[in-house]
Amino acid sequence: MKYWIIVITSFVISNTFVCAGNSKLNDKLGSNDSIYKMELLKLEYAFFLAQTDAERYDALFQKVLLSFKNIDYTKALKEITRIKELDQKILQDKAFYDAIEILLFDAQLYNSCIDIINEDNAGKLNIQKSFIKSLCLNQESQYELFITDIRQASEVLKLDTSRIMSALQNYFIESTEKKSSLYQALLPGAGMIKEGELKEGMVSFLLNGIFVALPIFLFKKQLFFTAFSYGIMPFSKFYFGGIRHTKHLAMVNKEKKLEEIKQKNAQLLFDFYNQ
Amino acid sequence: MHAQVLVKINEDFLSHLMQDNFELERLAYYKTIDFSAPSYIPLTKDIVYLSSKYNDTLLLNKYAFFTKDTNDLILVFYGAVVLNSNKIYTHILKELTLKKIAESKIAQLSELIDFIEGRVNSKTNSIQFYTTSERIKKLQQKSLFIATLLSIIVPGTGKYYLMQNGEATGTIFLNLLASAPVIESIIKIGLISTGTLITGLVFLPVYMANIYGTVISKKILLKKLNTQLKNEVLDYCNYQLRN
Repeated sequence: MKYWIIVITSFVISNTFVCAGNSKLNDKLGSNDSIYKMELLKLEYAFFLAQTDAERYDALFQKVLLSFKNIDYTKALKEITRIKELDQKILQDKAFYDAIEILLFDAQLYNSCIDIINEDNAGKLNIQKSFIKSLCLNQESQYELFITDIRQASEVLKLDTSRIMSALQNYFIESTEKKSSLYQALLPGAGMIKEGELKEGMVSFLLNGIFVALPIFLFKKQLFFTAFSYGIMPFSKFYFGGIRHTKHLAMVNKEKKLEEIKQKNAQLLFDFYNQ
Repeated sequence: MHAQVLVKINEDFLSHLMQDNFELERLAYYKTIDFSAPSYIPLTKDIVYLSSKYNDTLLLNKYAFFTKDTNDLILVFYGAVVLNSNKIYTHILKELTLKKIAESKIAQLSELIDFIEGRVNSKTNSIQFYTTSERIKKLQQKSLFIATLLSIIVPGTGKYYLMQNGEATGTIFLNLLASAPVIESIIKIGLISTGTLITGLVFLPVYMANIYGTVISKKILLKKLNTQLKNEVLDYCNYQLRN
């Protein structure tokens, strides 16, 4: 009798009933941003009426700040491009690059931030600029550029690199996806355990074991169709599903490791620039 | 709330906004200007395009009263369809009928309204959205009773009848899988036995689900096809505004 209970459970788990579900259309409602648009219009009109580049700069910079405040980064980047076309002297006088670097970094637009730092040719390399650039490169996982940047900064700012160079970690992490999947294919559950999921691995091993034993038992009883329906189908589902899940686990673990490395490197950078 | 004072169009400023493609600023600017004042810049397409892109029904509603000719009205009509503003498009269609424009155009526009509101019947004879509207018509003609009966007799055939071949094949396969152990139990163990009872209990929900699935599948497929038709109409209207 207990075998029949297993048979029913396996069948119910493995099959999805042919019941189509209703899908609802999710209508996205737009946010009320008419005040933002009106403010943009006022500033654009101020730009239109401006007589000098200084006035134009003020209007455009206000637009940039407004766009950042309203999380409209496309607009902000467009306005930054327009500001860069103005007289470079005014940009230097108003410390445009310094301000924009911080704004872009806060908005997590790391690549744009690096571009702005590189474009600021006239500005001297200082600790703040170098620190922000290194942090951006760290976030973007650009290891070689990151190392070059630290070397340049250490030469210009005369900082000691002996400690940071030995402690910095590369962002390259070897993927365990293939290895774990192979383990999982050879011995169900092993791949999951290798990825640090002991409980999931044990459950996978047990389920696969049950659905290997069940068809053998039914086959011996000469119930061939029953063996196929209640044994092989659920087994293939758990077996291949397990391999797919192991791949997913390996990917998640890789991302976690990369995040840990980034955090460690950021802490090292903080210590390096505060020495 | 402050009452907004409407201003005359500053054509130089508007040209500047159009030249550099400042969409948000243009949208805000259109809200402040007085459309009754004469202007040499053609605004309709831009206003309708921006209103539909940024979901601004108020602007479209306001501008609908200042259109200059039937072409403008038709553009506003497309915008209203995209924004699902039935008051505007119904009103425009009435106005266009009064202006006595070509009957074929009126028929085309009223067909768009029918499709967007999910009205397809045996009299519908669409050229633009032929495939989808014909599928809806065919499905509407199918009998739910026959489909259910077919599903009871041979699981899956009801869905074949309702033009859902993929789902029907899946249902047949699933029912075969669930019924094979029952048949095997009856032959090898006997009709009145624990094995037959248990395999029967497993098979029963699968069989019942097949019947239930057939009963609701017509409704679901009709809903899907109507949504598809609606999207086709929206794409068509968007295309008219963007080109």
